Amino acid sequence: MPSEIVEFELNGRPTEVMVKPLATLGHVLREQLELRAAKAGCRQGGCGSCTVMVDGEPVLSCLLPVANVAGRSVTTLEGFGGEDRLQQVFHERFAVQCGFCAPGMLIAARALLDRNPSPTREEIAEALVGNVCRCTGYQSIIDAIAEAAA
Amino acid sequence: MVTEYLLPGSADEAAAQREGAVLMAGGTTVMPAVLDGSLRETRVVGLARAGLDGISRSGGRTIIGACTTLAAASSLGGAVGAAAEAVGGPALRNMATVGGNVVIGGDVACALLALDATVDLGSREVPLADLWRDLGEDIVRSVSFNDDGGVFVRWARRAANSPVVVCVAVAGGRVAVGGVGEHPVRSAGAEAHIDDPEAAGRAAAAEVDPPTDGIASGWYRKRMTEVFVRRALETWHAV
Repeated sequence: MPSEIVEFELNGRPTEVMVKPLATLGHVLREQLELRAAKAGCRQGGCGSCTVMVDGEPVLSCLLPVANVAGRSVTTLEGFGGEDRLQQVFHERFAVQCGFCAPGMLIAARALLDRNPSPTREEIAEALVGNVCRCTGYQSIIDAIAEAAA
Repeated sequence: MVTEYLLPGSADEAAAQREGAVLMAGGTTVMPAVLDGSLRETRVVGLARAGLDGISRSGGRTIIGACTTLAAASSLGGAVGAAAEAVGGPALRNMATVGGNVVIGGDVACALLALDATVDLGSREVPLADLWRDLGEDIVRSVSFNDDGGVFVRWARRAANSPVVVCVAVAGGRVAVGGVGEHPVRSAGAEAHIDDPEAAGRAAAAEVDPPTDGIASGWYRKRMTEVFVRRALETWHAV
């Protein structure tokens, strides 16, 4: 497949990549742009570790062709710059064990708080159903999100 | 090995490019096949820019564009909204589409089957039940159905982000069962006993011969068909 130029906004900056259009956004972020917060987990849409935002909504970068984000706005965890309240509370409350799922959890949590600043624990759990933590650390993650929302 | 990926700007343009290609809407079914190399087709036609998204309501009928996401369809309520809302997690529902779910015979298709939905293929409109017999080279443009709500229940290994063992939708006296074959089916036996949930469950289970796979055995699916047809009808009668 011939490569082509795809332009989009990445973490607030105009970005231009020369890519095969069916390459996944996750692959381009990790291997070409060297942004490795979004993880390559199951690569079939089941684990949520690759979650990023496109136009403010969480999507699975492991299944999204990069050509589909042309002209759109992509946000990865790197775009939070360590400044997001959620990142600070995850750190303070040690809401990570191995850390592999944390970037996806943080994107899913930010998307939740952006549309619902005061979620119940049930709403937090619902927002995270697509994000798997194999260390089974869900309680501390939900606690951290609840604290960040408070 | 895919050698071409096109993103046509309209459904008609997509139809012109469609021959020999696989169609892709949200990508949640096609992309895993692209990535693991199991896709037979060498061309992929994406529908993301074909203008097929959007929900409209008029004259007691709801029309859902094929590329409407399951996240958007979740807001509809009734059997369709409940089915859409139960697939995957929020990020997956922001990608997966109603049209894609219809073509693969998923949970939303089960709800739509109970609602006696019709499918607009551009050149013709067909009952949903006929779609799986002969999709041919047509492109699903939208689905439409009368607004009579309906109920949808599902049973899976986990409460969320888990494919169904069985799902059941009931609307207007029609009963559809999913998870028991390649696509959802109407249950004539359950519909004949619509006022007797227990008999309906037994009749529905007697009709199906579900496959065994990594999610559940055929025996378990048959048994759960009995249980969940009964529960769906109890819920439907209580509404």
